[in-house]
Amino acid sequence: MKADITTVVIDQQQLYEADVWFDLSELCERCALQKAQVIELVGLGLIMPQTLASERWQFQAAAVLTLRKAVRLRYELDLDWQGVALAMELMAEVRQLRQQVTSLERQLAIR
Amino acid sequence: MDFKDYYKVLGVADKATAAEIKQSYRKLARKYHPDVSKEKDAEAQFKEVGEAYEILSDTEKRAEYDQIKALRAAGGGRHAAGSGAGSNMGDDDVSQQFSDFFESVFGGGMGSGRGGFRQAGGNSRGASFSHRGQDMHHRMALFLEETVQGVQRTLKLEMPSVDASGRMQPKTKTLNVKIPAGVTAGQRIRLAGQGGPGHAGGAAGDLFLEIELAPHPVFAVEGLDVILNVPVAPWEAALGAKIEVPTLTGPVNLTLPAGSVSGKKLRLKGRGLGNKPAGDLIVSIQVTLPDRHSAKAEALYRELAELEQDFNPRKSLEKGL
Repeated sequence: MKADITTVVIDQQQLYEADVWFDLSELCERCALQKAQVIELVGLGLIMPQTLASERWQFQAAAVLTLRKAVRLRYELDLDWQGVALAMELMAEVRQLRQQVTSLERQLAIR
Repeated sequence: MDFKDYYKVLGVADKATAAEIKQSYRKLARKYHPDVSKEKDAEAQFKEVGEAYEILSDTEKRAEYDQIKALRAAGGGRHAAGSGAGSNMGDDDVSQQFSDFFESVFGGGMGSGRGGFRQAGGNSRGASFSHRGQDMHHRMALFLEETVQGVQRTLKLEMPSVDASGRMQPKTKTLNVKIPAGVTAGQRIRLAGQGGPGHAGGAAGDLFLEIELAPHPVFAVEGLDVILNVPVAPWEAALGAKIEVPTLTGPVNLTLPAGSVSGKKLRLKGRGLGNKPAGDLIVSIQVTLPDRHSAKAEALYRELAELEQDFNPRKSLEKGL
């Protein structure tokens, strides 16, 4: 099979891509979720629209990743949405604590 | 192709009830879930457990599987099993391809239309309308130096793809990605149109790169700040000194003020990660000693001890005595 190589150059603007927003329908389509489910997940604090009070919710592109992970956890661990929200919150906390441990270990090592 | 005993995989008896199977799956899924498990081959184990549950939790599939198992036990040869619902979990970082055995028994045709999630009734099998390709996710670990200098990486991504006969065939896509300076940990970069191919004229999905930082032997990271421990000699700490310290972009000279105690932090503005705005390099001073002092140095210390005998370094502990 012939290798199919594409080169992608990411520019500085893309690094801080604040201008790409998805509305509720688009987010639902990308994550194979129904509106009610996304609304529930917003309620659980898993993702946040730009302005909660707005009539037309807009979500940052990265919300897709969060939701996809949530869906995966829900299916794979057979959890309900509340369980998913709790698991993801704890996972983020574990991650942050691990980083902190690494950082502190590094500081202690030299003494 | 090896026959897989899905009952053994889940650690349940052949006559296990649906509740027992579910319970065992939940336990094992938690144990091996790649997002949480620290087990060595968690991902492979997790896949196998998922595959077993996929079959045993479905009454029809389980009955079909039991038949094959019984035939095999009776010395039967190859089976010609009917096609079940094609299952394509096709998610990103956990490549959810089922085993050959699973494919041979339960078919590997186009499963859910978008190759997405089999959840929430999203199984639009054989959908003929166009739809956009799957969004994909890829984690990329960078060295700290790479984040401040920019880097080029070649990624090999497994893409869902449909061959001429309409079967799902994973295809490897090679992507050269040039990342500019200034990326930070946890950053997610969207590469529009670089995800899974669209179907029947639909647009391609997006690829999300998630940046992680590989641990560095010298620098630690806290948010956008980079932390560096710099050991100094007691006389440097006492008298002040000009010292050279490494940064992510090369060594710099630093003026250590006189009277710098261990734990004193010096901030080098803008020499951390990111660039909007950049974090700082925080130099944390650690006073250290040589492994051994010469007799002369010891004599000087004794002299110093006498000279400074009014100094009580443990004054703050007096309340506890």
